[in-house]
Amino acid sequence: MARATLPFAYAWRNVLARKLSTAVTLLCVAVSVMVYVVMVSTADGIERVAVSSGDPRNVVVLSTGANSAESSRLPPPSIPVIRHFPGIARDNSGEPLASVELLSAQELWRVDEAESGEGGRFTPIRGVTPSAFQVHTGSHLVAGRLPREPGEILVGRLLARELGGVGVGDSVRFAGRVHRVVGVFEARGQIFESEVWVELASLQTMLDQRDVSQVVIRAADPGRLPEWQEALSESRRVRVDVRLEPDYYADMGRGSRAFAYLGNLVGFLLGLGAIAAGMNSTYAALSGRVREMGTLRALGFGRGSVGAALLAESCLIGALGGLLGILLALFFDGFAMSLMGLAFELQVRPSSLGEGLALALAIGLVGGLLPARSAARLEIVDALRHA
Amino acid sequence: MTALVEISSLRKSYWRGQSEVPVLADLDLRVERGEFVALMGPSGSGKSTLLNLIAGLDQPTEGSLRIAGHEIGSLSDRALDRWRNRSIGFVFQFYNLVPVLSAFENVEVPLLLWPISREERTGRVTAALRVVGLADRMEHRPGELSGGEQQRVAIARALVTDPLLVLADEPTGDLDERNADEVLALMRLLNRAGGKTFVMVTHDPRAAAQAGRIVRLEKGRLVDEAA
Amino acid sequence: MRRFTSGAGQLRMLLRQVMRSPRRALLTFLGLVVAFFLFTALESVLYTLEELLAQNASETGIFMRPRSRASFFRAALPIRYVEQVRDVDGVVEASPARFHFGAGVHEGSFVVVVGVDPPSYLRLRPLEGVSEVEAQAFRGDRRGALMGARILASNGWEVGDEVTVRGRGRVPDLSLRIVGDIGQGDRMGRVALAHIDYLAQVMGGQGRAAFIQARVAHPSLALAIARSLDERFANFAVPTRTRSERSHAAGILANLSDVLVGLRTIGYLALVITILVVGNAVAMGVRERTMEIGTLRALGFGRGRVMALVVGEAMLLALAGGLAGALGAYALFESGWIAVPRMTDLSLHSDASVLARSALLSLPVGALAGLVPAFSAVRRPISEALHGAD
Repeated sequence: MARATLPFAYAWRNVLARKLSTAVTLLCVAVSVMVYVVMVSTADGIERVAVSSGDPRNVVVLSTGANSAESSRLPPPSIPVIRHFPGIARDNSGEPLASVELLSAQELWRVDEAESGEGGRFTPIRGVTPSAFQVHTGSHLVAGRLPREPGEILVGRLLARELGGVGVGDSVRFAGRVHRVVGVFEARGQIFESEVWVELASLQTMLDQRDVSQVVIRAADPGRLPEWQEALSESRRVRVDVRLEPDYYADMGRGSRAFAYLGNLVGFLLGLGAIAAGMNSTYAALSGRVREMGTLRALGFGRGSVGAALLAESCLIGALGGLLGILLALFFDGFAMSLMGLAFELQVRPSSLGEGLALALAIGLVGGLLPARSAARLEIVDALRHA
Repeated sequence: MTALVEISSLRKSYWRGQSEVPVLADLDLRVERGEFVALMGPSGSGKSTLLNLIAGLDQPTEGSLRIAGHEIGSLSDRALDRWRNRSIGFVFQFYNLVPVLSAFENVEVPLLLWPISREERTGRVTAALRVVGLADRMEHRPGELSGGEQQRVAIARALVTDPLLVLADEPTGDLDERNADEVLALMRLLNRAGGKTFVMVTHDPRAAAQAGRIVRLEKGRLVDEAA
Repeated sequence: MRRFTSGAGQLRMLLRQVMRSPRRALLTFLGLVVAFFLFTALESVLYTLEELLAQNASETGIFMRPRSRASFFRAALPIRYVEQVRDVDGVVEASPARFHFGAGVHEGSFVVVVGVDPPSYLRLRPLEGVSEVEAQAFRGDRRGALMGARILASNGWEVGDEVTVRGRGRVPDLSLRIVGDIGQGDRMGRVALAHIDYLAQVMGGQGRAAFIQARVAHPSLALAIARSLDERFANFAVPTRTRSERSHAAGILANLSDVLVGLRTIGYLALVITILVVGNAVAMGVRERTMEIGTLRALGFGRGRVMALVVGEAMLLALAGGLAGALGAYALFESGWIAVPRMTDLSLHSDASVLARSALLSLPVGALAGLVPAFSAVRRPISEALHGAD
């Protein structure tokens, strides 16, 4: 046994032996990993809403130069031109698949909350016609019915949840009046789920505005979408900008990357702290065990194997902390949050868990390297005489 | 005048589970001011326990332990701390110096609890170190001193408060012969010339020979007293 | 009993103890620096955000806009409301405003032109960096504009130039004469002020404002006046919604609350973990010096004093690391190096209050960290501890 290796069990038993130190390091690693994963999952949650929103066969028609629906205004005469643009898809009854929409952001309160004092939730209000449910694929009522008269609204699933479980028959307040929820809709996790949908005509009256914000239309031949998009934008009869619907929403999700960067940064910093804590505890483990190490060396274990045993200990704690961290992070999967009117759920992806675990292992490895080197450099005679 | 240490019918036992383990039984002992007493006995005879009791580090199970007329078993923790600081000097087998402090600072430690000026403190510390012959090594840390020098620093620390009683627990146990002799000579000098009262636990007959009186303990009892 | 001590000597002992294992002290210090850096950085982000919202939100400011509106920036409020607002008892001044979003010389650059009524606006919001001469020129020149320093710098414009702010989308271009610059102190680097009626002439929507701002005589009046104004205009063509600037800022913060709570939680989590890390490091030291602590106890140091020494050690470490970490983050944020992506005029910054709070927090962090090791230091009987080792 020239180059004896210490069994893994040796590392494991030692980890168990110094409980307090181990627990502290474990917790440090776990928190670093958890925070990292949760922040990245926040970004992923926002991005999922953005990326899953929109149908690849749809285009959004906005007024020229408008960056978003908020700044876009299409006058009423342009609407029939867009609805009847050649190449638009039609439903079974021959009607064009076009959703004429007016968008507005309003502060919204549950009816039992006082309107004074604290502000309400910024909520996107979308004035729509029944064809919205055909054009926005995947959207459908899950409860109640469509609005029939002013003051009746639909709420998206995530918004309903955000408002503390508002359902059919409940009321909310925005734009200075009370609105009754007559239906709740789902939209496959698309952005619409954090919106209020009302009848286009009632929103127009409410805002005292005849113009609409946008028309979303479906191409009859998705294969020729780029040409169709170009034809529409260059049409002489309307002056519009045309954007592919998925691109349009994906742009909105770009800001979520800030959370991912922040997550990386915070994870890195916390990781540094965990390395310091881990190194401290590994050094303490070493100094409490110098004589034991000397004995092992005397028994024929090489310099490398006592160092490796210490490194294995550190990595083991890192890995266990990482597992604990991703376990904690998993509790946040599906956690509902909202940010300036966008409701979303945290999405813990397997890849983020993998990254978290890699972070944990890196912490263990870096934290164990220097103490392991010191262990390997011990001289047998000195070590055996160590008090 | 009463004796400095008056111990009568002292009993000390520990509990191990349900059974009582006696360490000291029915012990009577007097130590007069200015005496140098060596406590001897095999290990487990209870000599260290007796020393701890005299030092107020441990409480007797029964009996009376009066030092300078005070029944120290009746003192509160806080009063006992203060009493120890004022009245007892300690010398340990392994010196028990604070490694990060210099010789001067180590000697100064017990005086940190005294409401005296820095000048007065410095004067006392310097004097104590001069007595043990280490005035020139005041700035050295324990790691930079030999075992004998470290023990002399510890003796200076024991003297600096001018205690009623110096307790020494195997003071030569960790020293070679030459250093042991030096330390013993110093203690003897302090006893003879300085009038300090010493109680020393030792199993080294050469050390015990320096004492004025030897008290032998065996299985928690005094077996004889030799002058 | 309190006078029974030498503080300086014990402090010296404390310092030596901390540095007894320099490597451990350094590692613990690093952990503390990282945690307090993170905490201070996150608090600074929150501070920047809150300050951004509160900077113009004075206690006496109120803010009126149409009760229902498609977009915050759309000019839909009749300017003639201003007169009626001014007539209300307790209102000191009122002034309308609207927006023109445009680009400067470079493609994609961003210039926000706020159309205002110069006389009432300058009474409402005196600008430190605008001299009386500049203010007079602005009031007297219909096409005149006051420009933020950053706009001037990034476009290479100077006071006296005739410039064009290019409209975005269907918004028409705006040609302006720069009559003055708005100083750095006013935090309006990327804003230009122009005449509201000139904006209306160029953009259409004569007689309309996006909002009307007003100042009331006393903070306690703000709410009541806001409410009475809304009642007064309730049956007009454009009903209003008026609120105090403070509650408006609070409203925006409320909509960010999930994120704010999240960031704040992370900061505090880092501190809690640090308590454990420092506590563990101090406990290691205490374990190694069992015999020494026993000796101190034998020499007459009471339980309380020994515990104070251990807690003091932890607090000293925490204070050093906390101060360094908090100062590091503070310096970094105050240097202005960190800009918010896509909003280049908004750089993150910090404040002495944030720094002070973080640094002060290091003391309770240290105290809590030292508590458990302090108890374990005095738990053993002295006679046992004197014989050292575990």
